[in-house]
Amino acid sequence: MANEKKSKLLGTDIIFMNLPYLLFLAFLGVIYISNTYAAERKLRDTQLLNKQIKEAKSEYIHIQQQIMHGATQTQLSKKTVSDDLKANRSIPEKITVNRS
Amino acid sequence: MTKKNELLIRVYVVMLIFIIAAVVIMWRAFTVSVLEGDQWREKAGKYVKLLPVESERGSIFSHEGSLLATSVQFFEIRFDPAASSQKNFDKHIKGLCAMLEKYADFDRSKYQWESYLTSKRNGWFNKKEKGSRNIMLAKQVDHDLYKKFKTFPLLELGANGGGLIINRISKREKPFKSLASRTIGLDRDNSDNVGLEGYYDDYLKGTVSDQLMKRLSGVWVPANDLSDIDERKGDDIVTTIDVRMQDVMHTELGKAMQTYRADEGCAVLMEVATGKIRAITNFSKEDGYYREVYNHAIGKSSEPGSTFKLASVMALLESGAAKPTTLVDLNRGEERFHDQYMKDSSPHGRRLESLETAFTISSNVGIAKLVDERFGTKSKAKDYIAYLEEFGLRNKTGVKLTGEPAPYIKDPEKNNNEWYGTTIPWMAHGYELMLTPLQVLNLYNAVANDGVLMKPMLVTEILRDEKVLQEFKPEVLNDQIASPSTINAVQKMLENVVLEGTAKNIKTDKYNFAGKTGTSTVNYNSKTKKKKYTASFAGYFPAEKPKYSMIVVIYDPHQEYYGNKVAAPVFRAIADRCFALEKDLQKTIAETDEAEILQEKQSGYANDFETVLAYVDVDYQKRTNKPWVNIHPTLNKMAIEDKKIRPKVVPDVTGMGVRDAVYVLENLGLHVDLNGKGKVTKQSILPGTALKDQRIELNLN
Repeated sequence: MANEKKSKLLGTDIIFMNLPYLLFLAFLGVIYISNTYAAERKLRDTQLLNKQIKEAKSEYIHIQQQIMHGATQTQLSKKTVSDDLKANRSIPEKITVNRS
Repeated sequence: MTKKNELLIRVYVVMLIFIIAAVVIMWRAFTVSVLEGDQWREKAGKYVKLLPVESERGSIFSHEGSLLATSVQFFEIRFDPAASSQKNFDKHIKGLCAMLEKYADFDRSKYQWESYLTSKRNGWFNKKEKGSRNIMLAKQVDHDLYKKFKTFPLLELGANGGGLIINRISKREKPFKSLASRTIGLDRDNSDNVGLEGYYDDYLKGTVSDQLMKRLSGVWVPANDLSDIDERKGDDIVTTIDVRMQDVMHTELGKAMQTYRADEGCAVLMEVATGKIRAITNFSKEDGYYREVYNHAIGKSSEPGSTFKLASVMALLESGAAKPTTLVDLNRGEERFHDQYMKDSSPHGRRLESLETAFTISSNVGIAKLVDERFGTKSKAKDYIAYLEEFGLRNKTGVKLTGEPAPYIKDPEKNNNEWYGTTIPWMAHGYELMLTPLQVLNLYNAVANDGVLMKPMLVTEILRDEKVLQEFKPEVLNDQIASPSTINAVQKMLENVVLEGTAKNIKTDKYNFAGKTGTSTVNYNSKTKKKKYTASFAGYFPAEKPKYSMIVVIYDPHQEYYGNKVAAPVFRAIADRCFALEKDLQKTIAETDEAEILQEKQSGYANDFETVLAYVDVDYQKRTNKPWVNIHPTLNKMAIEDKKIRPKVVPDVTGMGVRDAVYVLENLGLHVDLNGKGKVTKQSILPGTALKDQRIELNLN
């Protein structure tokens, strides 16, 4: 009787009894691994997106720079002032009207 | 064999297998970590590395938020000729090389490119030495060109199929190119940073640290937690520079530099109440071009010459030794002090004049004489120096930029060996002492600011993550450099310099401004060499309620060297533009209660008159429905009456605005020539004349 009990202990019963738990552990392992991969992929994507942001930003600045520089009075008058069109050098005066 | 033995053998076999497995594992672990350790570690190093995390350098902004300096990405473009398939390579190489001929850095024809790239490709495949998979096409291209490169044949296939290799380079860019470039400064690797880039480097650069990075499918990512990175982007800096005024100053000073072929020049525009520097320009001649390579305004000390007379006059008035009306003998512009002769800049016949006149005509003799009388002895000279100290002229302005030298002003005790009998009279008109343009300007700014000496400032805020980290407020260095009566007196004198003194050539009836010309000789000790001069003008505007102070200094001009001819017109031109840019400076056309009577005949378009009259609330009576009308006042209202315009007859267009007149006449078929601007006062063909195809000349007032 004692022998029988022992063999049961080493035998399949106890394994069968704990199988769901073991499967659960294995499942956790799989999740853990896939999670790691997903995280790494995200990390990689972030890094790539960062690069794109930087690129887009530098493109933005590059364009903005051309516009800002082109919009200065000196540059504008270089492009527009000719024999027909002259820069107005007179000083503006304000007209204010108090309407009561 | 018993069952028991059989079982035991089985157990032993299993155990033996386990033991062998364990030994093998231990052996492998040993070889991997010890025997082959270096090799594997090296290999691992390729995938895990300590890399410096580049934190982006902060930007520098102008007062109104334009970017003055920022980091922009540039691209280094390389090519791997062995990356593409033979089919693609053969198909596209000609197209690619045609583009390379145009856009690549190297001066090769498309045929040279083709044979070069083909040989590199074949060389690599045949394992010959001259093969290469990394060929430089362009070292530094901007974003536009980079995008273009990506569309070239073959390269458009990308890194793996086409062999396009991109390296990103961060480069400092100034969107406004040379505007204020020396003050904004340089961020460079091979020597010290200069300008604001240098002074605020600790803030701008952010933190740079090494991070453990690993390589994941071709991309470097942080090996540890992302939150591990303590990278901090550089802080941004907001300056006081106003790009519009900076642009104006750059252009106007540049024009004068070219006209007078000057060596160097600088100008500074400062807000009177706060000491904020709104524009600062420096030019040096380099290979025939004018460039910003040195900050003269802040770093260059020189003898200021006549602009310094302001300090002398203030000292005289403060000490009570003279009043603006005190008379002084100018001795026709030449006087001997000890063993030296002093001359006024140009000969004149004047003798007895008031201090005020001596100042406005910038008489060296007059100012020197009065100062010498009052402060001539060594013991009294100490008082003069004490006044200069009070005016802030013995200390640096303290502007936050490296390279400002301390003023050099002699002290009768400390500089005993260099103290001569002529020192005081020469100091009185701006020699034997050294000041930077900014230091001179700061005195004028204090006078404009009713005696409050401000610390010139260039930076108002430091921003971290777009929030204010540090704010700089205007700082008062001395809240009363001289008594109000002295300040008032010199303000009036400075105005007179422009109204009737040395700078009357630049006066305008549009606004009042005040200032002082300066013409100093640079190499006066040399008898043989051609004389060199420095022309300057310092002042402020508008005179009644000063908003800005400005100094213009032009070193070694040719053709002309007087401050009023060379520097003052630059001042005036910049001031003009400031008035155009700043609404609060513009004069309001005063509303008066007195009625102004329409003197001349007024004619024009009826609707226009009606609109204006309705707006200003004036009663009027309309006696016609025609579009073109005359208008004249009657007893209590305005009358609008028909202006007779008939076909084939020249009409009377006097009193009409030029636009209306031209419209009317050209519609009738006349050709119009114009003289002057404004309203028509005269017409060359009498009204009522029969109309032919002819020219009519209009005189305008």
